[in-house]
Amino acid sequence: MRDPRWEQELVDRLVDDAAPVRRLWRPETRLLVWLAIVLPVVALPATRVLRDDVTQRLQAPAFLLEEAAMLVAAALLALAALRGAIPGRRAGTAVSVAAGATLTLAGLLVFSKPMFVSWTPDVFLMIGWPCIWRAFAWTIVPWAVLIVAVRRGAPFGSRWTGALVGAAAWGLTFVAIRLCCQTEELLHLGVFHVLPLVAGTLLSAALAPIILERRT
Amino acid sequence: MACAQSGDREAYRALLEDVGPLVLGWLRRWLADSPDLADVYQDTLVHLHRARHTYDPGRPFEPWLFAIARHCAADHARRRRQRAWEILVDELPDRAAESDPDRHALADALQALPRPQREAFFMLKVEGLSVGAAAARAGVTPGALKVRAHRAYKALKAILGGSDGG
Repeated sequence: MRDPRWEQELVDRLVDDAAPVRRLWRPETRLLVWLAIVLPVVALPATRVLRDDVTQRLQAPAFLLEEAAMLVAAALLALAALRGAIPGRRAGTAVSVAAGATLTLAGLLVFSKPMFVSWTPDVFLMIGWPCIWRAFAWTIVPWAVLIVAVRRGAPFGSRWTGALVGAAAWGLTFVAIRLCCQTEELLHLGVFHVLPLVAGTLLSAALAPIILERRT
Repeated sequence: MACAQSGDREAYRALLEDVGPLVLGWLRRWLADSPDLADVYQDTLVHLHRARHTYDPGRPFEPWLFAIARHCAADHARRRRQRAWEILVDELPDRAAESDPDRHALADALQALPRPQREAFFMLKVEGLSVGAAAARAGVTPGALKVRAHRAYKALKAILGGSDGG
């Protein structure tokens, strides 16, 4: 199959195009840059609509643990996405296990909330609506910045990478929205906080091949 | 590669000429037909070129290189789904054929293996790589590679009715 002339032409073409390239920073460094960019972007709108009892809630160990677990999970998922965009690198067992554990912990804490049965549909939707639109609006920047960062690499498993990017960005927003939403009720949290996170992750996974596969 | 990243064209040329046979040998195990092999080989070099900024000189080169080759081969296989099972086995290297008189039975048995196991089998038993080298190429730990190889032997043994198969 080897045609030396054909092969030589290809090598010549690639060598001619071999301009110096800027190496990617380490994934850990790029994670810190992502956090440095997006934390203020998410925090800024959140501080304007903080829940009235935010100080009190932040003194509650369960709430604090839930927030910390979700924040760590979001960071680890972002790290996994950034690592996975480098050929031959994987998220790593420690990162995968830690991300799974923190995500599970946050989930357990969220789903340990009591459920009210007295919701009327209109009140349920009225209270939930701000959480939904905030979730989408506040996630756009973290998601876009992370997808651009991942795209700078060479992501091969684009659907999986997209899911990680989505989960990281939505996870980060989840933390901010919990600081703004006063409703500590299972159905509300499930429908208006957790469900958008899941839907956003799936949406990101669906969009990622279109966005990421151009480069590689 | 580090020199190539900084724009040293001669170093880059030397690298591409060095990796060519390596990549070709690796791709040959995945793809049977010559025209496709040429396409995927070209695709791999182009991907390597586009992804050269992602290589970290502090890390081994082979896992990076073969992750790109693996992606190109898998992508090709995906696009040609109707011929997915043609990968690898039509061009069994001679050593495999010599070690088993029933070449077709072995080919069928190999077809039935999951890709990671098939890859581990070939690297260790056909190419004769060490566990460490094969693990580096596959981008997994030596322990994980041993597990894959062990599962491949076990499956082959079961399929081939108790013969060694490897």
